[in-house]
Amino acid sequence: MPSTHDDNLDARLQAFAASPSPAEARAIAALHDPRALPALVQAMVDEMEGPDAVAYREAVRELATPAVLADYMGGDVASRRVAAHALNARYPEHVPLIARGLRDDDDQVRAICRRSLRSWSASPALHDLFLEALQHADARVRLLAAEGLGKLGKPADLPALNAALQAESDDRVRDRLAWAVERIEGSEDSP
Amino acid sequence: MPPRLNGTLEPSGAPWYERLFANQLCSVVIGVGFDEYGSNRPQDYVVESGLIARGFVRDDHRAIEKLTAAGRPPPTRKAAHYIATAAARDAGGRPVDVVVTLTLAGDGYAGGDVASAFLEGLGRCDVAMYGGHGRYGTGPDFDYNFTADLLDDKGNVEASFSEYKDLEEYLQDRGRAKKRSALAEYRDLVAKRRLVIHRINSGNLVINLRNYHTSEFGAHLMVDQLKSDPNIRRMSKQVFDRRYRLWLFHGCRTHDYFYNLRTLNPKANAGGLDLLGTRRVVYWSHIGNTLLKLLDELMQRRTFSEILHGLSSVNPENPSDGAKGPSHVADLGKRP
Repeated sequence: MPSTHDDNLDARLQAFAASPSPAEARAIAALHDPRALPALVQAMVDEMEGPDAVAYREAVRELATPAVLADYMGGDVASRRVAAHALNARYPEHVPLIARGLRDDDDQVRAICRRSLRSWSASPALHDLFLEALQHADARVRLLAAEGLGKLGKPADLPALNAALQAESDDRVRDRLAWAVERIEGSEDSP
Repeated sequence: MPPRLNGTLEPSGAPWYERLFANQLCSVVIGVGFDEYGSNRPQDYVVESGLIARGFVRDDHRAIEKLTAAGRPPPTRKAAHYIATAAARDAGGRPVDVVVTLTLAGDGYAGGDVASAFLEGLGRCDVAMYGGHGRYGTGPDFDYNFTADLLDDKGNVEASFSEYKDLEEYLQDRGRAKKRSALAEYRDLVAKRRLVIHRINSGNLVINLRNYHTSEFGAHLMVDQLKSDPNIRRMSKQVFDRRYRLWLFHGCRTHDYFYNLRTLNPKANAGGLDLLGTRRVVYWSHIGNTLLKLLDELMQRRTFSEILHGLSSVNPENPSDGAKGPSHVADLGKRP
């Protein structure tokens, strides 16, 4: 990814990586220098629990604009893994990148993107991704798609869900598809 | 503040090696818990490759034979078993073989099964080590915790969350305009039935439901949703035979577990139970090396003091997290 050498920034990022703090994460994010993304993502995922967890996430969100994420997603495996960690289906602008990540050659990128589908907002882009993902090769992705469509509850999705139910070979996915169909049909019947 | 045991930084003596290495065998279960962002996966690799580097080989069949021959209960749950020949020495200088059972949460898809295998290991193994989320003092966890659906006023799902940090970040954003904390926003939305929590607790082994971290949103959410689940697996319900054991819980502030492990698990304590836990937050990137460090220290028959020093050496202080000093403490049991 961006590789222009900068001794000051390199030293600052190295110091941050060795001893991260929320204040420094915010300060680094405020530089809006994409080269800082790996260090911020590392601090975010390394933090286990406690009051600082949200601060690291906010720092990543500030720096990881869709353009920065797209750039990283176009890079090497390490860059794509960094970007995948910063993706979240709550943000509609991240959805096309998640879709891309779900088809990535690297299984870790796929796995991280799969996880990002578990937290989402009901954007039209995500709805379309869920529909597409009913055909995904990975049963775990199909399961999340079924669950998402069931929660979104659109009667127009029933034909796709029923077709997927007929074709599905994985027990857990079939169970979620059946749940989604029942949920939507139930809401159609209610007064 | 709920009652608690903090453990000590200056424990005396050593693990009961005569028992740990009885019949020239030591059985160990290592569990690596689950992280919603996948931070556990690199640590799975650290542990697996670290075992191999120490001369362990995976051989489920031979491991079970060794356990049975040495009078240890064989595993019944699916897990990976590694064996190292003559990895330690007993008090008489005779070689001790070590069988390590690995229970890894992986992507959390089968967290309930992994939790069952680890729980079985807590009972049947001489040494048990867990590395992963402390879940705000509630206990080890091998899968996702919940999904939370945010509903609009017509009952449609506006957003869905599966991780407390995601939810906290969202509620913090949402509450800012009203000058409300994430917790106040959470309470308000739950009361209005706009936020519906669906529990996923099959991977939790619940040690404690006291909230030791009342200033933290995640602690409230964790304790609330576990308390309201009648089907959670409580450690206090588990039956342990009378035998010496050493347990390490390596997650954030796992000394929160000590009080309940001592007071609500009489059977686990009956044969002598030595506990090691953390006294501050720790980091995912150190988990694999911490578990391997304890294994190394035990194989070299270190004292408790040396063990705490060794564990701290792989969990350096981070000045920014406010917790200074050694990472781990011990709470030693009474030997019968």
